[in-house]
Amino acid sequence: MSRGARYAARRLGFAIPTAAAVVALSFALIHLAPGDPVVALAGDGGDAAYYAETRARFGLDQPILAQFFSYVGRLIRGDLGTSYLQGRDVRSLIAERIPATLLLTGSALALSTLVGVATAAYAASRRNRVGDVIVNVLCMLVIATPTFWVGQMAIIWLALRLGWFPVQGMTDARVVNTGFAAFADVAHHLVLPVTILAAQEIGSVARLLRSGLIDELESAHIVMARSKGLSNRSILIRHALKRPLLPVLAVIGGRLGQLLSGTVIVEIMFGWPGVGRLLLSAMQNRDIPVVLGVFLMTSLTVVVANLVIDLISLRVDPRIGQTRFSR
Amino acid sequence: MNRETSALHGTADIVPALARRNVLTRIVASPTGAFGMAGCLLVLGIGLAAPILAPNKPFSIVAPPLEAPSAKFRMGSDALGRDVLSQVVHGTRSSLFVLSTVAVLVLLIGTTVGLLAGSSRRWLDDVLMRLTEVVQIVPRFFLALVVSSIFGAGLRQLALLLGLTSWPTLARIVRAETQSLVERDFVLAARVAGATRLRVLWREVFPNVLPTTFAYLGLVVAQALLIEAGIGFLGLGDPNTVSWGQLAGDAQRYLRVAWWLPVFPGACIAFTVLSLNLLGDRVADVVVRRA
Repeated sequence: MSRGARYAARRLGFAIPTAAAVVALSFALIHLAPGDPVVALAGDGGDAAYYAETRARFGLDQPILAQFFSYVGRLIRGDLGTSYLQGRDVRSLIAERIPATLLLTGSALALSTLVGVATAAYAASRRNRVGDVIVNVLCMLVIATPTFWVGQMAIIWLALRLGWFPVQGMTDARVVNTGFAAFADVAHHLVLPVTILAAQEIGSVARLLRSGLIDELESAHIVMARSKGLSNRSILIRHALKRPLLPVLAVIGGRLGQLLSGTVIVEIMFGWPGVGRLLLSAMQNRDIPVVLGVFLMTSLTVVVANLVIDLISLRVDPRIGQTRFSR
Repeated sequence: MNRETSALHGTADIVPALARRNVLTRIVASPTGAFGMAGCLLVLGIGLAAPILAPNKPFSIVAPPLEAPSAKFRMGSDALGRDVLSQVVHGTRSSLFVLSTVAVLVLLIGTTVGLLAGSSRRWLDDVLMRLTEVVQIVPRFFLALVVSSIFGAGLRQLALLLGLTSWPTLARIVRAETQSLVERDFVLAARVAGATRLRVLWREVFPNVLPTTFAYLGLVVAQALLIEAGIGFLGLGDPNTVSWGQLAGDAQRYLRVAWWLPVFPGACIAFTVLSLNLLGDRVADVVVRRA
């Protein structure tokens, strides 16, 4: 087996125990919850018969190890339990919220990557000049600013005072749009939440890439390209960007975790009908199966995203996996 | 002078004893370092002196509801007629509590794991690093949400949880440092002289890892503060204490009528995180990179 393949196998072999650890954690949380775990799973409003039914369904009368395995078995089959608040399957509750969240998070991931890369290229190409310094200061500021504060300021000034953007929701409830008008309506509602969600990440991508680019611009192959008389633009885009982009790629998995956390806050601020709002109302009502379902789903998404990124990185940069401590 | 290049290992230089004395001077010599240091000291000072500085008790009703900032109430009043300035000043204490708890835990766990992993044979190193990755991969914000909705909200529990989950970055940095340090002559000399492994780690390696540790600690605790603020914002924080995130969350319902409610708490969080980041960056510049 080549070293690269061995590396891929090791990352895959790592993702499985990590996923198992997440599952074990959520199982432990149910059982560490104060009081009877059946109350955590069925809520405190149920009657004796309902508790008995839940107890039997989740095997709570069995020994703890048997409970764990049946829990894992149910998860593998996609059974996340039932929301006692809505009396519905947690999986379908989450599933119907995913498109809205995916639209928000996906757009923010794309926007922060694009704008982050462009910003870094701009700053690195005029190192230590006014533009670079301004970009640096702005990056430090957005990285330090809580997402909700950016949101609050944007709502007050851009949405309420200037009326440029809608304050709430994903669609305009007053009119029913079809075709392009429906698309434009969602896009208009999307602008503010996506920008706010992406802000912090733009700052971190730009800072990460800028320092890599600056080192790269001093390297021999760039000097060579310069001496060939290539334009600054083509040097930057075709020669210098390639290598410093690798670390940017490598951190996408971690950024997804960050973005998903931010999504909860942004969804709640803007009344965006996604998983975040489901999570908040579940938490306020201590609807533990839903809360744990969302936790499992986001954690496993991040685990899988990290694995995928590892494999893509390996494909892009074969040097990865050549040394024992390459990560 | 006695500094060797360790560029090959890609890890930090050890600060020579002579340069160490004026590290503080060099930290504040740059504008960002000076800003960061001043900001951190300011937040610390306000937190410590909160009862003296705040004109009112944070929960007492002293003003008409939703009054705009004035000479008497510099940050206005909230929907219940409480003085926002006093709340913000007292909120500093919650932030300091979170920051210091996380800092202590991260320092303890991160350095221990990093030192052990960096100096151990392959299997222990592997086990510790895989553990580090598992902890790093679980989204802390969601875990904190789950834990606070199952076990109830509390500032102590939240700070504890953030401390117990924020150490991986530091552990990795300490491990890399340790790996390069254990091959240095002075460490080998100590081992030849018969010092035990733990003694070598504690007396020779640990003091040299410490400056780097402090450089990154600022960045790590700043992240934890942002998470705590997010939880408070969602209204899942401790109802018995004032915190900036909570104040910002309470403000959400009054965005149309009272701009001063969201402005100040959020600005305080941004200022604190910015100060910590700038100070951390500068410390890293001085003690770690190209000292």
